Order: sequence, then structure tokens, then C-alpha cells
Amino acid sequence: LNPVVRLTVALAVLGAAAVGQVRAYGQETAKEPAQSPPREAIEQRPYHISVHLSCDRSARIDAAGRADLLHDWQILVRRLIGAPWVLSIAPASSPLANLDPEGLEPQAFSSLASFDKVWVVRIARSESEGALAFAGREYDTASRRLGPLQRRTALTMSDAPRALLQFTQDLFNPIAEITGQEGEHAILNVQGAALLPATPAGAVVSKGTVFLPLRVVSLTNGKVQVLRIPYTYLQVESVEGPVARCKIISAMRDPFTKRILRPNSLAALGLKAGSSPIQLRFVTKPNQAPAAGYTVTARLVPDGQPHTLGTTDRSGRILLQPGFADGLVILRLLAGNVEPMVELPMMPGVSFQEKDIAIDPKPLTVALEARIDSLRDEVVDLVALRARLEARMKARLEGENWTGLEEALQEFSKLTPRDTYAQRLTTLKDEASQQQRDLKQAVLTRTAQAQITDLQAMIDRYLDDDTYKAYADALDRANAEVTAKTKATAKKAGGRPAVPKAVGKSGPPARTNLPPNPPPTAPAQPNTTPPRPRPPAPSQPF
Amino acid sequence: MLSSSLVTVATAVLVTIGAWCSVLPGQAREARNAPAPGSNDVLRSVPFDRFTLTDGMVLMVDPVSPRPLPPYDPSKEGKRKARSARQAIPDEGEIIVGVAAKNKKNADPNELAIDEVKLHLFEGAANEVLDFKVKRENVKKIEYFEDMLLQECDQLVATHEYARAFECCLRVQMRNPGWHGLDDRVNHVLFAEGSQALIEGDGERGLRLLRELLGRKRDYPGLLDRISAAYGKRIERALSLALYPRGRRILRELMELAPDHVIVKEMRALFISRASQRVTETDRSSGPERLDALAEALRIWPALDGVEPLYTKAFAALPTLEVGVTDVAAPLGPWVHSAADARVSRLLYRPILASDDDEARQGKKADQLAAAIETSDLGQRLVIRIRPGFFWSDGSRPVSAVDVGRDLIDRTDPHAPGYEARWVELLDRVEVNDESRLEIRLNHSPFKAGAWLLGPIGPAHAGVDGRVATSSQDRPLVSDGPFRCVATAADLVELRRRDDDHTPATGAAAETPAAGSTAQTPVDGGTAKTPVDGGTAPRAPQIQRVREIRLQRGQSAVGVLLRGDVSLVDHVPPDRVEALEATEHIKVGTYSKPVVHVIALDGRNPVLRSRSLRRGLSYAVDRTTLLEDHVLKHAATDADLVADGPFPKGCYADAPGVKPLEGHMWLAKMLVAAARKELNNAPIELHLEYPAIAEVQAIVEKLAASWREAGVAIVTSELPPSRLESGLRAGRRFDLAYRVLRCDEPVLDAGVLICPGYDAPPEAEALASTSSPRILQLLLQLERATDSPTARGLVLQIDRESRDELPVIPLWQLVDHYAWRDRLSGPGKVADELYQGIETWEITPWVAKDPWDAH
Repeated sequence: LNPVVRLTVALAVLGAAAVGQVRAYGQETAKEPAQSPPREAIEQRPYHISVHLSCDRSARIDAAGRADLLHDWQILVRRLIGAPWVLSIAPASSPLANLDPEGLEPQAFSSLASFDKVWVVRIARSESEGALAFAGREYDTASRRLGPLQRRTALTMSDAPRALLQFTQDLFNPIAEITGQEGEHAILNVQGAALLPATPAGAVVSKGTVFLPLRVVSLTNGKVQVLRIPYTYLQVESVEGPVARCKIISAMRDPFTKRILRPNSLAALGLKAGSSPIQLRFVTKPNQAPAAGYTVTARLVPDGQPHTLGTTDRSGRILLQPGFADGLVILRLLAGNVEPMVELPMMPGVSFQEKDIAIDPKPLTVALEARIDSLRDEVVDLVALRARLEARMKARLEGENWTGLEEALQEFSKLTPRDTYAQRLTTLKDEASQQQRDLKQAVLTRTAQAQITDLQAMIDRYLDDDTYKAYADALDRANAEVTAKTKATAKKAGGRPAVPKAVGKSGPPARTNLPPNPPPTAPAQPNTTPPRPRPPAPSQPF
Repeated sequence: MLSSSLVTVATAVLVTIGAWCSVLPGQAREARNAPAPGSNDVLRSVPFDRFTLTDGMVLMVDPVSPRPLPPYDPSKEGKRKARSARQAIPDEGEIIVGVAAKNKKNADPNELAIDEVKLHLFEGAANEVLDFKVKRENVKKIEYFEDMLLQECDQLVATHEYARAFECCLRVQMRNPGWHGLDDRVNHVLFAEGSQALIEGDGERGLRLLRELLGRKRDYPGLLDRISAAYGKRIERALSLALYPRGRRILRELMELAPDHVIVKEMRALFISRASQRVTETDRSSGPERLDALAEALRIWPALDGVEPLYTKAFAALPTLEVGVTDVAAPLGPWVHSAADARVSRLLYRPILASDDDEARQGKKADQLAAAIETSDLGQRLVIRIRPGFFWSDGSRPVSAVDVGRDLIDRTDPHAPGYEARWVELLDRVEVNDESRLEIRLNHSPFKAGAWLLGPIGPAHAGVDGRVATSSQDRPLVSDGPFRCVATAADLVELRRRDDDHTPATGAAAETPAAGSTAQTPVDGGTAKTPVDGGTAPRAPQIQRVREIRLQRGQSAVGVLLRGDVSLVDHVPPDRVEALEATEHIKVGTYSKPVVHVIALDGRNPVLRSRSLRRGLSYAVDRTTLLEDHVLKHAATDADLVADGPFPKGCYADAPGVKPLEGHMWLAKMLVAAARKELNNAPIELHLEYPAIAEVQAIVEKLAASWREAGVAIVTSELPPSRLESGLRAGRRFDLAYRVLRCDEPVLDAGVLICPGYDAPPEAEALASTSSPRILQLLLQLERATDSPTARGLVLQIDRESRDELPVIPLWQLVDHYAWRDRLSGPGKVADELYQGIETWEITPWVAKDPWDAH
């Protein structure tokens, strides 16, 4: 279908769904917005918001205080938000106002279909701080979804209007149509985005705003079903007029698949970090056993640094308290030390009902990575040891301490040679490949391969024997030089064969135990003997 | 001015002998550095004498010789001169043929007359004459350097500068040991300093000085009174601290110093009166109070007349074993959170199964609640029949299936002290069919299901802490074991054998005495006798009462055992074992399982998640040196050796071929620096908690110093072992914790060995404290293992990978020892637990006599 046609269908369906709500709460006395027959374009349409504010007895705010607070707040809304919000204040006696925001159900809002948004706000006194605590949720009538629980505090009553404004900004989530997809990006037409806000702070959408994509499906019985596209979010990258260009962040391969039987359209509802804990449960495939002892990390989208949130318990669960991040994050479940099992985008503090998240435990990969880690530790230790010996050899060479240099070379030669580690790494890799072939399951994952590559690079870079060979050659040349000098002296003295009885003070001792470390393919040294051996260039620091 | 000086000198000097050679080189150097003669600092001054001439002139001169000058009496000088004028002609005559006549004019001008003294001035201008001969009659006063030093000494004593005063005396002694007044000054200084030290509370030093003075001059005025008073105070202090043997030893010393002094008699009377008072108090008491009072009376004064028979009689009625322990269980209840809990719980509570074997499952072991256990549904369904005949210690009712069911369910309550997270995962439900039968359903079939039934079972009618309120203030612990708890305190647990417990003794221990037990000879008058000749004499009494006494800080287990304050100690420091084994009347036993010393790391601290830091901490520890130099104080052996993992050598979980952990400080520094870099160069500060165990106290500061040298700031704090271990097992947060662990069954204990809070409630997030995620995953896999090969393979893998992953930092493993006095018979040379076979132990009454009295 033509996208325009599809969009029209989607809006009509959403409108019909909103109008078709059953009125359950006839007591609503707020003035409903006038139904203007020719509805304007979505981007020109303001949000009609019904506000249900109640004050708990602990807040010690009477009716007059409530009225003052709302009055001051509305002034702030006019000054800072402006046209996009059209507010309607419900009386304090509204049944919705007395409901606990945390336990709200969408059915409670069925009578308020004429509004775009319904806010339920409750003010109480915070026990710990003695401050005014705002708690509330937004109900979006078009998508019939409740937004996340939001909380905010105001230390004094005089701060309350401003805090309430910030709180309602947290509550407010725009709604949009997904009008197109360009690769990994989605194009959104946001309601009210064409309306000029009073200040930039009142813009309904801006860079970084997160949307939750929804699929609106028309059922055979004429009803409409609004489905959430799982593990998928849209993050606004740029805004041009009413159109927002969003990055699609999804754990699914094709979140906006067109392989849906029923007529459907796509919409998006804004989403902000909430104040509810999130409980996740991971199980392993195929036996659905709890994935216990896995580490969960989070990083902010798009380029935040990962940080650890916790470890799954014996039943594979982890409870994520709100506030661990203030925006969309990518949760990652790690097995062992580094192997990612699954990656999920998640909005902190937004509770949702998910099934168990099944993962492939990749036990062989994890075991392989543990062995690679151990091998890397050994290599790191060896690199450090070699660097220390090289520094010692350099000092002894510069001081012409040939005996000391000889000892250091011997000590160096006793270290585990590079080939051993290279061989061990190759063996690990080969075994993993063999297991992969035999069991027909991935063992050499991308992470494992990266680890192997890194370790191989480390071995190649830091465990080369050039430095050692240079010092050994320097010692040989010094030996030869001393021998030649001794011969010359003896010849001068009487032509007798020069057989030095003892090595002179500065002469190097005879090398008795040449190290086996240099490979046989060592390059031949030039015939010209330099006047004094120079220390080789130091190894690069690790 | 100049002429006046010259005239004065001319009147004093008779002959100028010319310039002497200059002062000696060394003397010159000394003179340059030392204060000038005549200055106030005599102690550091170059030696000099001060001459005052009759005209009032004061001369600072080199010390004259001889010292002191011979006495000079001007009145006798005239006669002497007359005698010398009439010099007698020698017998051989003044003219001898062939011998040149003596020319009196050529006599040595340096020769001194008897009434002259030669002086060398200390100061003088260049080319000025410094040497003079002075007539003694012109000398008004001579102040010798030694006298000046002694005078200075007096002044220093007056200002309490005793060290310098002693230096003055020392200098006099070096110059002239026999100088008149030196001994008196030394005595004075000793007395003054000793007295002052006593006033300042430094009794040891004060008494040492006064004792030295006593050796020099016994009749020094007031010395004996001072010493006796000081000793008296020390004795009173020892008495107030209940350090009776120490008080008696001090009294003994005083008796040797001043046997007839009145304070000796007073102190002796004080001891006897205190002891007698205790005995008097026993008239109003009975049972354990009477026994304790009599024992204390004898502890105060072992030679108290007529008390020993009373004590022996009271002891025979209630044989009491006093045990010196590293720590007591606190709080005590039907759970095992620490080694102290494990030690006592078997006396207080009976488990469902005495051991995890077929014999126990079939109910063949007497000391267990289960009469039989039937297993079905592949091990997921257990039906337990409860043996009748066991009663709770409050006498309310017999132990039934209800108690067992309630206890098993309580272990799943995160708020209950006995919570076990693994049990929560394992248990599906418990159904109590009737009073004697219950059924347990498990979620899966675990490896060694019986191991979950070895713990203590508390009463269903009690609170979660195992206590029942009998009044508004009294909540006694209710138990079903052979003993009941009668008192608990921060440093004491007292258990009493239950009169209503008629459980037959189990095993061979009841029939044959344990190896190493020896016959005892009770004190005279005792009614309990150990058969010596294998005859029919009555046996020594079995133990009816156990008193566990926590050793106070600074109190050594060996010390209290040697003194006889206790008859059994639960732990002997490894460096004292050899000496103790060679001690008469002391026996040393060995626990069958070694202990492993490890440093636990809390992975909830993000710093300790760093692999580099963990490796750095491990490399910083030179295990071999620390073990041999500070823990064992001898070379490592096959049994006491450096550890390479969490499991001890010799058990099946110890993976072969694991490379030993080495110590390289430079590598440790490098790795710690790398870890700091990972942490944005923030300083790394960690808190090390350690248990108050002798060998740990000896080593912990060395460990901390190693880590500090590697670049990690360490703060140490000492905790009672039970408190530390139970806190860790409850999942509380920490950084580093020194743990001393015994591993009975590696498959079951691996989790707790590596992650202290492995069984803690989920709120503590204790699983995250495992600093290596890889090891945590292996532990959780091990938890779900259902068969032996899989479990053993996993535990080996854990041991192997722990070497590099370092979830804990292994230090060393040691054979653990206990020791007992030979008045106690029954403990074996090797035991799984301290009170193994206590049902058959026997103890004889015994009074610790003072060695001098014994001789």
C-alpha cells in the first residue's frame, strides 16, 4: 500500500480506537475538548491533556493550596511550554486522582478517550527527607498504554510549581506515526511538533528523545490491537520540522517486518526513564535452566561506557533498580568474564512484562576464554620479566660488566620461550575449531576470536627475541675484541702464542652456556666489528 | 692589666719549664667538639680540674696526676723540709772511685718537689706559657673532674634526668672506678630512678632497678620498704585481675627478697583470706556454684588447708571440663555459621542424619533423629521416619516430625538465622504426615542429598532463635542433644549433660578408650579413681559439664593450658606445637582435616573485580617466607605448606599439576599500577578484617605491609573469629577478609570456601561477592550437579581455574592441633572435631600447684 494511505488508515484506526472506549467514569467533570470535525494534521495537533492531581493528607496541602499550586504551574506551562499542551484540570474529587499511580490499569482510563493524554499525579510527603514527593503516570489514549512511573521531590512548597513542571515534563511522552524506514533509521511524524513552543524547553521532540515503536493491527472483528515491538526502541538523531529521524535500536533482526497477515500500521510512543524496578530472568537453552551467575552490564546508547549492574541469582533473575541510567541503555549479559550472551536495549525504570529470556550458554566458548585469559596472564608476566631483564642487560652492557651481562643473558635464556606460548595458543585454537566442527555449534565466537587475535599479537609483538640476540651478539663481539687484543699484545711481546691465563678486569668471561633461545634463522651479522657494542633499542613498553 | 696578670702568675709560679708539647691529637679533636671546660655541661666536657689559688685565681687545667693528689699539710711541710735539708750521706759515700760525681746542677728541672704540683693550663694565647709548677701551699682548693661529675649527677637526679645522671656515674667509673663517693652516687641514682619509675607506673623497670640496688647494698635506707610496697601493689593488681598464679609468683619473689618484711605477711594473708572467702561462700551454694567457688579458692591459694578434699568431692559430683577456645559461638542456636557453632552444635542438637552414609540412612547410628530414610523418584522424594525417645531439654515434648519439618522450612525463610540459599533452590515442599513421619520433595536430585540433613534441628515450639520464653526475662535455649546450654555470654558458654538423656553411646569409642588416652591419678582424697592395675577400682568420672572460655586478647592458649586454668584448648598455634608436645602432662592432638588460610575478596567492591589487582595482591605475598619465618617458625613440611588453591592438598578436589603461586613484588607493583590505571588512577584503599587467632595476628601486619609496598592502602581490623565468619556468611559487605577454613566435603563446601555469603539471603546480593564471574558460574553448575563424576570434575576445574582467576587469595594450609592436660583422658590423637567421643571422656580433679610448692 501507499505509505500515505497506510498512514491515513493507521490514524483512522487509532482515532476509532480512542473514540470507541467505553465510558466507565461518568463522574469526570473536566471540560472535554471540543470535537472539531475536520481534524488538522497530526503535527499541527496539540496534546489535550487531562490532569488528575490529588494531595495526600501527609502533604498537608489543602484545597486552596492545591488550587494555588495548579495555578502557578499553569502559568509556568504557558510561559515555558506554550501551544503544544492544552491542559484540563480535573477536580480533586476525580476518582482517578485517588488511585495509586503504581497500581493503575489502562481500563481505568476508558472514559477519557477525548483526551490525548491523562496524567494522574499524587503529592505526598516524603518520609525520609520531609519533602514534597510527586508520583504519577501518563496514560496515552491513542495507544492505550500507561507510561512509566515518575517521581520527583520538591524541598519546599515554594519550589512545588517548578518541580511540578519538571515532573510533568518527565510524564509527558509524545506520540508519532512511523512514516518510513531508511535502513537503520525510522522517520517519525510527531504530533504537535509543528506547533511553536513558548521556549525550546517546550519542544515535544528533540535530539535524543526515545520512542517505543508500536504496531497497530486491525483484527477481523473490527477491533484494533496495539502491539509493542519487543526489544526495540527509536532514538531521535535529528529533527527537521515535525519530522524526526530516529535510529532503530533493536535486539531483533527485522523489527518492522512486513510479514504480518493483518492490515497494520506503525506508530511510536515517547518513553522516558521511570522509577520502577525491572526484573529480568534469563534461562539457558534448551533446558530452560536458570542462567545463574551471569554478569549484567549496561551502556548508554549510543556510545556510553559499559558498567556492571549485577549478577543473576540462582534462579537466573536480576532486579534492576531505577536510576542506574537516565536514558536508553543496552543491557548485556556476560558469561565468564567477557563473552556476551545477549544484548537488549532497555529503558531504565520502565517495568514491562517479558517472558524468560533464553540464551545459549556456550559453555565451551566460556571455558576456552578462561584458558585464553590464563595464557594471557602468563604472557603478560613474561613480558614484564623480559623487560626487567632487558633493562638490566642494557645497564650492564653500558657499564661493560660482561660477567653481569652473561648472567643476565643466561637468566633470560631460562625463561619460557616464545614458541611455547605460540604453540599453546595454536593448540587452544585448534581444539576449539575441532570442537566446533564435531559438535556443530559455535565455539570460536567473535569475542573468543578477538581474544585469540589479541593474544597472538601480544606474543608476536612483545616476545620477539631480537633484543636478546642483539645483546648476545654484543657480548660475542666484546669477547672477540678482547681475544684479539690479547693476541696482539702477546705477539708484540715476543711472538709467543697468546694464551691468556686469566681474563682481564674488563674482559668478558668465556661463554659456557649459550642460550638456546635464538632461532636458527637468525640473520648473519656483518663482518665489520664496531668499535664498541651499542645497546639495542629498548623494547616498546607494554 | 697585663702586668698585673704577670705579677700574679709570678707569685704563684716558681719555675717555668718551657712549653710542653701541644695536647695530644685526639685530645685536640675532643676539645674542638666538646664544650669548653668550665661550661655547665660537665658530662660532655673535656676532662679538667679546677684549681683555686690562695689569691682567688681560678685555673682550669688538665687533670692532674696522681688523682687525687696526696694529702698536703702545710704545718708538717716545715719539718719535712728540714729533713730534706739534712740529707743523709749514703752508706757507700758520696765519692766513689771510678764513678763520676753527680752534678747536682744537672738535676732534671721537670722534677717536682713533694709540695709542688704541675699544672697545664687549658687556655692560652699563642706562644704563651701554659705549664706551671705550683706550690701546694698556694693552692686553696682543688676541684677534681670526677667530683664535678658526681656533683652534676646529684643535680640531674634532682631534676629526674636519670639517664644522664647514670652517664655521669659511668664516666667517673671509666676514669677511676674506685673514686670516692661513686658507689654512693650509683646507689642513689638507682634508688631515685627506681622509685620514680614505680610512681610513674612502670613497675617492671622500677623493680628491676631497685632489685639491682638490693644486690649492691641491701641495707640501703628505705629500700626494702619501697620494694615490698611495690611488690604488694603488683600482687594486689594481679589479684584484682584474677591472675592468681602471677600474683603468687610475685609474692614468691618478694619472699625471696625480703622474707621477713611485713608486706609479705600481709599479702600472704590477703591470698588466704580471699581463698577462704570463696570457701565460705560455698556454704551457701551447691552443685556447680560450689564447685566453681572451691576451684577458684584453690586457684587463688592452692595450699589452702582443708579445701582440696572438699573440691575433690564436689568435682566428683559434677566432673567439669574447662575448655579454652579461640572464640565461643555467639549467638548460639540451631545453625552452623562458624567453627564455634560447628563445635558446640553436636553437643546441643541431634541432626537428622549423623553422617551421609548408608548406615545412617538405615538408622543404624544411634545419635540421630532419623530412624530410616527412604528415597524415591530418582532421589527427589525423601521419606523420613523419626526415631522416638528423644526429648527437648525443656521437657515439654518429644522430638517429632513437626520439629524437623518446621526446621527444614525455616531454612527457606530469608529472615531466619538458619537460612540457606541452596536449600531454598533445592526444596520443593515438606509434608509432615504424622508425628513420626515426614516427606520432603526436592526440585532436583542433588549430589549428596544426605548432606543437607546433617545440620542441627531446633524445636518447633521455639522462636527462630531456638529459644523458648519461660518468663519475661528468661529465654533458655531448647535443645535435644546430650547436653543443654545453661549459660551463654560474650566469652563463656556453659553446657550441662542432660539427666534425662539416655542415648546409648555410639561407635567403638564407648567400648575402647581413644588412642593416646592415659591413666590419671586423681588428687588425694578423691573418690574417683582410675584403675591402674586393671582391677575393679571405680572409673574416673565422665564429663557432666563443659565450660568453654574464650581466651582474652593477649592470653595464649598454651599459657592457660600450662597454668592449668583449662584442661583442653581447641587450637594450638603451629609454632608452639613442638614445644607443647615435649611438655610434661600435656598431650597434643591433630584434627583430621587441615585448615586452609585464604584471603576472601568481595567482588561487590568494583576495585576487586579487577583481575590485575587480584593478581597483584597475590604476587605481593611471599608465601614461603611468611609461612616459614612467621607462622611455623621452621621449614615447611608435607603437611604445613603453601597453598595453590582453595582446597587443601591431599583431598580429591586438589587439581594436580597446578603451578604454585609465586611472590614477585616488582610484578605485584606493576599489576597494581595497571589496576589503578583501569580505575582512572584513583588510589586503592582496602579494609582487611582478620580473626583473633594467634598465627593470624602474627602474620596479618606482614601481609598488610606487603600490599602497602605493592601500592594498595590497607587498613586492618581484628574481630572475634565467630563474629567475623558469621557476618561474612550472612552476606555482609567487606573488602578483604582473612579466613581460616576447614573443608570436609569439597563438593558441598566449595561455594562457602570461595564465596563466604554463598548461602546468604538474596537481599545481600552475596553471590556477586565472588570476584570471578567464571568461578561463580562453575560453582552454580556444581550446585546443580547430580552425579559424582560431574561434581568431582567441576570441583577439580574450580580448583584449577582458581589459580588464575583468583576468587580468593590462597595463602597456606596447616595441620590444626588441639591439646589437653593429661588429667583428661579420652581425646584421641586424631579427631574430626574437638568433642569427638566426649561421651566416654573422663576427667579427674586436679589442682594446679605452684612449682616451688610442688618441689
